[in-house]
Amino acid sequence: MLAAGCTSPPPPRPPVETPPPGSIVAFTENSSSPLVAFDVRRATVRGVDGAVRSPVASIAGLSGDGLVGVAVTGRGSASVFRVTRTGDAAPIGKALPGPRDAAYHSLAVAGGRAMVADCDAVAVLDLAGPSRWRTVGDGCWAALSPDGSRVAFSPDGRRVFEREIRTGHARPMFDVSGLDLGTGRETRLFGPPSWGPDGIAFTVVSGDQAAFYLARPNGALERLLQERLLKTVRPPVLAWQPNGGLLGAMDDLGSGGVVRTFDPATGAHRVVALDPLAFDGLVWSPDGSSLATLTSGGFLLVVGTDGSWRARVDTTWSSMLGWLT
Amino acid sequence: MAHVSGLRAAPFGWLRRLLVLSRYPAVGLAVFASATILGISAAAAPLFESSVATNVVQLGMRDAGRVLASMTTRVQLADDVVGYQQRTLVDAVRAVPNVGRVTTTLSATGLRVQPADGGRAKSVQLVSRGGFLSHVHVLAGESDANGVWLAESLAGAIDAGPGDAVLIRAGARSATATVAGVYRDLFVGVPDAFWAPLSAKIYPTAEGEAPPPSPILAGRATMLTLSTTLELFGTARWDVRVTSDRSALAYDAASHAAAGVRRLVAEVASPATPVGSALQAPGTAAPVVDVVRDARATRDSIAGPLRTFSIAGVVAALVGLLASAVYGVRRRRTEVRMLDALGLSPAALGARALLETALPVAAGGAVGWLIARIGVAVGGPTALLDPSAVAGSVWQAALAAVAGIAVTAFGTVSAVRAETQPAGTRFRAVARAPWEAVALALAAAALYEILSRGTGPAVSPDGAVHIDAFLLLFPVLFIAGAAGLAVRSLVSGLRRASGAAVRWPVPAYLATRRLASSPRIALLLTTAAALSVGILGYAGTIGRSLDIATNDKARLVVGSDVSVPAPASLRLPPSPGLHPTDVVRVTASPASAPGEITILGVDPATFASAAFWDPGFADRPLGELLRDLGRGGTSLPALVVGSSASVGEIDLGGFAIPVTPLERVRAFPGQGTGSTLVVATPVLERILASHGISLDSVGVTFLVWVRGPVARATAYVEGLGLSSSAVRTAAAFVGAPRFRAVSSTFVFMELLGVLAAVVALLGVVLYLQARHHARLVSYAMSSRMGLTRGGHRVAVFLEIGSVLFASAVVGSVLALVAGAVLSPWVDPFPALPPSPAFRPPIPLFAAIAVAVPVTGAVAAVIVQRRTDRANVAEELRYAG
Repeated sequence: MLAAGCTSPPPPRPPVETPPPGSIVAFTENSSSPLVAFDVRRATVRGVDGAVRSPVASIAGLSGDGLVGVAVTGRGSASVFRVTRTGDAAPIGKALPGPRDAAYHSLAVAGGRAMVADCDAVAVLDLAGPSRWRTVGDGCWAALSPDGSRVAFSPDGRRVFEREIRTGHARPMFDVSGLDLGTGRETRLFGPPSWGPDGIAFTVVSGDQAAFYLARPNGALERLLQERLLKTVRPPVLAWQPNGGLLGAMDDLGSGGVVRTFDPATGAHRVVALDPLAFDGLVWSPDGSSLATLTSGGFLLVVGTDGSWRARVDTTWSSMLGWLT
Repeated sequence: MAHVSGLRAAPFGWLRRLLVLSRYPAVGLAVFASATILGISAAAAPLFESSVATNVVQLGMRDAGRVLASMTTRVQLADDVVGYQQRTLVDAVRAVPNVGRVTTTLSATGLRVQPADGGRAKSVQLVSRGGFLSHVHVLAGESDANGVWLAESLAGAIDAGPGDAVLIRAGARSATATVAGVYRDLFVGVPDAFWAPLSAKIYPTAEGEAPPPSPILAGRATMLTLSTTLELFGTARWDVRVTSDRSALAYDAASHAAAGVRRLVAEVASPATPVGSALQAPGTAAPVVDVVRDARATRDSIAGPLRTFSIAGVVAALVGLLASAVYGVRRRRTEVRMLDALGLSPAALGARALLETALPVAAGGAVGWLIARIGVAVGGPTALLDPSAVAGSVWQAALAAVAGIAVTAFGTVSAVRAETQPAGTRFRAVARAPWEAVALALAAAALYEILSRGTGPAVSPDGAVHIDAFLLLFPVLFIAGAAGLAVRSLVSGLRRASGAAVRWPVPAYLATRRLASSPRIALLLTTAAALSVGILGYAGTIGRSLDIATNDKARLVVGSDVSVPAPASLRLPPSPGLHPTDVVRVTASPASAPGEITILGVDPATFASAAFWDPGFADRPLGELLRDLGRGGTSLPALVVGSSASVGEIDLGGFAIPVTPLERVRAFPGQGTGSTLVVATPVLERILASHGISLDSVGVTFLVWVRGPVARATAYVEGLGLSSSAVRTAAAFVGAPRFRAVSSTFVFMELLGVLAAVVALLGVVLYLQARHHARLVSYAMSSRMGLTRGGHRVAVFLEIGSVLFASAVVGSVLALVAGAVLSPWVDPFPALPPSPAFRPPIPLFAAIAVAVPVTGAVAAVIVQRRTDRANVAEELRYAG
């Protein structure tokens, strides 16, 4: 205990480690080339050809030899497109017209499907046969299972249902209103859940408290972290590590922005980046070794899961889409 | 003879040449002694500069609690957030050289604690600081117990003890903790420097106010568990400490650490770095940078004079080597003439001289370096020296030795030429040249330079310390020249006396005759010893005068030994050996003129015993002045400090207060930088009260001054509940680089004086050795005429003792003269009275007075013993 607050510095090591390979695809504020691919290791940028407009919300997932993205425009329409390794972007299927502008919709790409929830309906698009959007539920917050076969959605922000997309069969999964954050106030979902192999991670808020939970496949709800809720400008971003067991979380619910990793196996969590204001977006590198986010100063920050900086680059990006191998 | 055996082409003949001077001990010793001075002169300056700079670093880092840098940030005290910040900081700190531990301090306020089973709640703070248990007085509990530690007052208030559960609340959130133990409140007793960063959370900020809520102390893990549960925001502070390795406080090492800390601070301030991003613009402090800056300033201040000394010493030593070479040739003139007759070229003679002098010069240089190294380690401010300074001193000594060998060879060749050319008598002419006149003329020029500068020679126009080399050159030149003249007159007196000595007792007669028979050696020895005594005495005199003046200046600025701001006028309890008083200070404006004037309010009853006072400050005794100050009516009696214009009224608190100037004083303890009026606080209070206002309402600063031993005085003011961090001491003022630089220079000069005295003693040995043969023959003859062993011993004592006595008297008198002339001019802060006064160091001169007869007696005993053991017949045969 005497030495608990004293730390002897270990031997020196390189301040910045080599970033993982691949390119981060991002939307820029440059109208002539709104989509760019940034080679992280070479630190080079190239434009991505294709008629993709800067979105108010976007998400992407790896699919085949490219990246499939979903972008929600300012008018609420959701379009799906594929970005190839050669630097081209091509639309997939028709855009889904939205009823209104909704920046906080749930978007997901997984298992050959794209999903969008705009608080009116939860719709999915089969990437293999992108002929039409299919409505599979309702509510603002929804998630696709890793294999794309199921969708979890919450029609009222409290109860969460699971629906088999192929059969349409639905069943209740859990109800967050019963989660006690010690405020005596109602507990509600805040932000899109993230469905991974270890379960569905989600954020709830109650009074001046916010908490990250994990719904295990067996139905158990485990609290990962609870913190004071100071602002609800935007919901946290939760993202599962590719081929790994870590959950990445970016939130600015407290006094600033923080990126954490959670290890559901041990319950341990670790801060890997802090920003005095907030971060924007969170994407994993395909090898799962690093996380990329945008700082409040507009810098792309790539950090390892141990918090070491892999890259920090000044950008004019408005949002990140994903990390292309 | 054996002396010319080098002519034979013997194998390894060149090797034998290296040892030739061993056959001529007097010559060898002269060369060796000169080379020793050469080594000392070349090596001492860089070593001493390093010692001074390192000492400044040591003292500065001690005052800074060995903290290189500190970072403080307001942060969410969640374990993962603090952990991330600490990891990034530790990563960044690794690049700083000589870094040791990083101590984390976490603190949060606004909490309440109560027994877990209910009861009265008390306001508390939660604090964690690495290693805290070593810095509290544990009253109950085990140090390895998990949980929180309650202050004694808090534990009593909520009736909790070790093993009890307490409930800690922060707003609506609460957490339960186990009490691990109870410690004595931190504001009780003498403050521990460990808690200095948290003093605002520990000590009352104002007299009469309750101390802040006693902190609940916890280990880092316990603290973060609680703060995470309670969702606390608070302060995180990281103190980056220097490694425990002693060498890390050497100047070079600290400079590297400071450079690393500067990079760290820049890194921490930049959001483009991991640590800057993590700590989010923390407050930073870098004590090591300030400390190194002070050390560099001090070192640079003394570098000029030290190098002047060094060059002067090297030149003197080279002249000594030159003289030794000439003396050596004269001593071996038979051999030299034979070699010349054999046709040896000057170049060959030079090569022989190089070989012959190389060893003693190299050995002398090495011994000189060693003496300088040991001398600086023992006599310098600290024994810890920079490796680069040690290496540099070795190089300088080596280069000087090479130059010494070359000069000796040159001197030898020149002397050989002179010796082999009958017309050449120039060396004799040089020996008789009045060099003393040259030295005195240069000394006069140096003195003129000093006296013609009106602003004080120790301060440069930019206010930085600059020690004028003339302050050091003048005494050396003056003492050398005057000592030379004095000794010349003594020698001529000695010659006259030798005639009359036939009527004196045998020992006195013998001593006089011996000295008179070798006047040049005696002259040289006496002058050298007088110079060493003079340098030592001058440095001691100036050093003491400076120390006393500096202390007086410091106490004038501080007012007394210790001064500390107080929240209000305090009741000052008596304490044996300590003299406290309270003082108020406020700025007012003269009603009739623009500008500001400092009003210093004193308590006439206690001020005289507590404040520093020099009778030179005023024409009347302090007691009388204070008595008059206390006799106020509607007008405020005041002493006017300095040459400020007369003040009829002052504007204080919006009221015009008439002032009766009592007397103009030259200085007053605690005076302001501009005009100052000294008044009696009770009178000022009474006049303000007549206007319906108080001291508080006019914004006075209350101060407590204490006269007495600093440690006790500091403990006394802390016992009054005053912040230890605000304590100002005269001792700390004296430690400022400006003063330290000047005093260090004279310490160096004293050190050189001591080293010169050591060389002078070597000279005594040289003299005795040179005179051994003649003395033995004279003793052999005299003993047949009835001279006893005791009588001969007394004769030797008188011979050596008279040389040393003359040196001591001449050197001391000249040192006192030089010190008396220059004492007022060695003022590092001339704007602040008093100027340094002539204060001779009596113990030093007493030590010299004792050393003279002791050295003479020891020399007499040794010589007599050696004489008794000598074989006179052998010596006579050897002399041929």
